Amino acid sequence: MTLYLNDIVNETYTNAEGEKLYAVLKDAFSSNEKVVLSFKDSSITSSSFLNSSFGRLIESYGLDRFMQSVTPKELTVTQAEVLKKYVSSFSKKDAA
Amino acid sequence: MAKKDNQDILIQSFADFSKVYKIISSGDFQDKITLVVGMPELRPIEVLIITQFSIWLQKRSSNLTLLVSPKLKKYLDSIGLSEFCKTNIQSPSTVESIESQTAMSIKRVDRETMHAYVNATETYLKNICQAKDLQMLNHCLSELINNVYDHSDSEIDAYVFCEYYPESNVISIAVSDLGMGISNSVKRYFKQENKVEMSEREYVKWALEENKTVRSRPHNMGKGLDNLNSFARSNDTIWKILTNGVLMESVGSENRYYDNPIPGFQGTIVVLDIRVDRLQERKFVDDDWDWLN
Repeated sequence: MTLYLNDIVNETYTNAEGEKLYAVLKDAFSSNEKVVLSFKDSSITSSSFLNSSFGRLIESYGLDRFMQSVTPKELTVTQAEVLKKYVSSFSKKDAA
Repeated sequence: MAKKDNQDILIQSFADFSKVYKIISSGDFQDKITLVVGMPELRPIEVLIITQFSIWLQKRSSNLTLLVSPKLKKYLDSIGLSEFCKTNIQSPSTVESIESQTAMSIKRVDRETMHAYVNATETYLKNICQAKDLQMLNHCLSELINNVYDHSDSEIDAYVFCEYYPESNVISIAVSDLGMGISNSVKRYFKQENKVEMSEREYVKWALEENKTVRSRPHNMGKGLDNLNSFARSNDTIWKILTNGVLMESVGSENRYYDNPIPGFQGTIVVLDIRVDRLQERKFVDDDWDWLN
């Protein structure tokens, strides 16, 4: 299923908004659905926002499951760099 | 507690702001204080030091007057400093329009207003940085403001001021708070975790490493300052942090640590000097994006 980030959250800077995204994605994880998450027209994600959304999912379900289940699309190069850096830090943590 | 008298503080150099922090830490000040500023110009960092001091004093029923050169007075009037300090004592209040064509008005930011401020900054800067990708700048701003709320315990929120320098094509952004400071925050965490004590500089270095966090909030995973580091290196942004007794300055790909040039400094100020010509063009990722590429 495709979800639009801008439909779920008002902004992508605070952990409160990240928790909203977490709640939506968690539902999808619980029902084993793969999610395509569109970042069209959304602002860049802060680490607080990611910690409360992607980070919580990764800690709950593991990095592999997260990467298989969530596919971002319609991102700017900068948004993609931020997301990749964020996710790759989890694989470094696991390796350490 | 304020005493009924006047007090003059002479500021002729950056280090002289130590007199301001001495008052803040001692709580010993007069009813009316005059800051006599002999510096030829004020950068965002100095504007915010003065702003915070003014608001801190007014919350304690003391008043701050600035005595400056006519040129500096014209500049401070153009950025709306006086009006901001009068209207932001208890809570954030926006100075809607200012005369300056190269500065955004000073902003007292809390979590509720952060989003609006970051968007307003992007709108303002789009005129200067046409076709440039400003998302990393927004990212840095939101990281810095979140850090204030997650770690600083600042009594008077965070303050942001942004100035564009056309002659050098540089945007200078400063974010400040009067909280406990990075090294004190990390030191407190180390004590709670029974970790070996380190020096103030080592605490700040630790805070800048990836995945290091004091976890003062459940959602902290320690990526905020590291993201700033990466952004700064990717486009030659010069950034510095003044916090407690430490100054960190980025020099190329290296961060260097010194004693804070303002003795007795309290809180944290982060300054980013962004070279507009080094910002990337705004581009989109191809459709077949995946996590591994």
